[in-house]
Amino acid sequence: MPTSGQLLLVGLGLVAYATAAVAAIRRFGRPQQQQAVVVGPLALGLVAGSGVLVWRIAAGGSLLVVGGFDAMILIACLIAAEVLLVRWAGRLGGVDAFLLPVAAALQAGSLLMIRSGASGPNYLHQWHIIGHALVISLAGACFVASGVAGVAYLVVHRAMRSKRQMNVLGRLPPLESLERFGRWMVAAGFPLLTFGILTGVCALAHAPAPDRSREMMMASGTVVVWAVYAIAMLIAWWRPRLRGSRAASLATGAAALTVLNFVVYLLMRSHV
Amino acid sequence: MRPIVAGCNHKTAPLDLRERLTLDEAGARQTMDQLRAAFDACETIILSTCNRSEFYVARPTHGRPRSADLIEFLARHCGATASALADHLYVHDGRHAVAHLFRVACSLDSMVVGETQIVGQVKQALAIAQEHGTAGKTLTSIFQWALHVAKEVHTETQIAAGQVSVGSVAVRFARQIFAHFDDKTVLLIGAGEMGELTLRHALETSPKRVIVANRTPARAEEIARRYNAEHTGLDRLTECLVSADIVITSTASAEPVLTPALIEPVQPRRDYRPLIIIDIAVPRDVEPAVGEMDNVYLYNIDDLQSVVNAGLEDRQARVTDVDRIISEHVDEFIQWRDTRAVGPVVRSLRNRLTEMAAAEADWARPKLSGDPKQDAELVDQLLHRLVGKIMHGPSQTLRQQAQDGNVDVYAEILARLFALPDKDEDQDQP
Repeated sequence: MPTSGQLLLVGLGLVAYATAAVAAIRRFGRPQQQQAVVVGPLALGLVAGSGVLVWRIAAGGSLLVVGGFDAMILIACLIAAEVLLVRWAGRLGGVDAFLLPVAAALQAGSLLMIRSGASGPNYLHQWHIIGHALVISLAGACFVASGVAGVAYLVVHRAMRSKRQMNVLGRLPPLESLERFGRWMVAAGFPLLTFGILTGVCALAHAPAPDRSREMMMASGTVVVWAVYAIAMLIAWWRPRLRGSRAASLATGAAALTVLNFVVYLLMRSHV
Repeated sequence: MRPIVAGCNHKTAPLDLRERLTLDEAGARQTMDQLRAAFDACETIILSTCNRSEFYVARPTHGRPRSADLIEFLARHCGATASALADHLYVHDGRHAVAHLFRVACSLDSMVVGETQIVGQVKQALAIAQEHGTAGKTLTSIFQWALHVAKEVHTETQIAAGQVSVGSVAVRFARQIFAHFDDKTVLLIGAGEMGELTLRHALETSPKRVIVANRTPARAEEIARRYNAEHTGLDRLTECLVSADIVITSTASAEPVLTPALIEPVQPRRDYRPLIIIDIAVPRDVEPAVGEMDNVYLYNIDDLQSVVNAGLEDRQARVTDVDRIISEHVDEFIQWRDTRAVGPVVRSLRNRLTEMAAAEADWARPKLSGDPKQDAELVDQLLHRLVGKIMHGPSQTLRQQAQDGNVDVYAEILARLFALPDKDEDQDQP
């Protein structure tokens, strides 16, 4: 179970992410120099989240990232790091208003998963299992980011097509940047997910026989997500027509499936 | 020194007159020299852009040039009569000249309100005059203050947001679709004036390639040469569409030039890259169905104009804010300038009185006898002489002004400066 000090840090991180998210939404589309108010709380949240993870490693010798508590904090941290990257990239300014609420929601979700932060079976503490979970988490963060870019793309696309709500002009990144960012995220996430699944298969071999079939069932959703992304990438390869709003819709749908799979996995694990 | 400005802009003067008053850097330097030669001891700065030519002068308070002198000078300069030119010129003096420059620097007087190019132009005009030695303390402080106000206005208000010309709106649309333009191709179909104007805006994005396609190749070539672009006839339109990312159409054709049947086969060849089409022709050059195609964004003149109109409504509220800021700054500047102007006068007055006092002290010192009664009389004499000397100059000036009919103004100032009792009150006393 997380200690009260760790929970306090998680709470601090949650407040920081929420503050950054509110600031990002309120300052939506304002000039870059006026958005320092976003970066401060964001950095604080990132430090608090990383602090919790480091603390848990120091206290327990490893992370239980296969449990929901650590995994959610980890993914929130990864998304926060992506926001910093996005802000650094400049041309993607405005995407943070979409990504930060996700980070805040994950941080809040981790507080609902306190029980899963309890120490699990011994084999879950092995480093190759933890490595597998880290890679999967990273892939998940990439897919969430691609989904968020897809949503932003669809918002801009719809506004540009309908020729109404033109206040979106200049407030969100150009469609070209959003499309490229989404592609990068999928391109980075897919090999990570593939690697994560392969390491997961190897890790399952080390699992005790009674746990193996249950873990297999729980991980099957991840394979479905992998298949969806594989098909999407193949289609994009063979049919260049799949770009623009269609690609954005696909990325959004696939990201939603990733999130759903993650939630289902966490729910199943919390009932183990 | 009192500032005065005379000039014309796109609102007051036709293009041919503006052209005659427009000056490049060398011309501005030469004209500033001429102004200095014509009006001794004045400061000059010339602000000349494509939309305005303004001649800022600071003259001694009672010196020249006056408004009429400046108009006369400009009339000679552009070869027109003063009366003909006066109809197209504006002249502002003192506080109004300061307020005018502040408005200009904040782009409230620009063709596109909120544009920032004018700030650079004001800065450049000041730099040229400073380098040339015609910008003195008065004009330099006004221009520097104007630049400060412009910076504040652009930071504090959203005046630059929502630009209000059809061309600039088209560029904003393009910027929302494309992240960078150094690999993009702009295709101008038709050689109309509006198309060329929109192309000029599109060129602000520095595209990799510009192609001008027109039914008459000679006209296409003429425009292409002006913008360092390629040119072609409409027979090669399909090829042009393959490489184009931004298409601006403004032909006089009665039939649509771009149709789904033309664009559909082109799309696979362009890997379904996004294509933005700005149709500013009336009647339209592009069939509306083209706008329904994947990755094609079509905007006609009405779409662009509606954004322009929305921008104007938003902007009106912002302009009120900017006017308030400018007005506050004009007050602040005038107060600062007046306070600054009083300092040397007070210093000079103090020095003059000290000199008088010293002279009288020198007169009295050898006469001191040590006898208290005689010395007291000497002090009385000294003070009497000193007051007489102090009063001599102002009394003479007052008498002179009385002959000129200005005595009331001077008497009023004297009364205020020395807190004298009211003249009528004084007379009422028995």
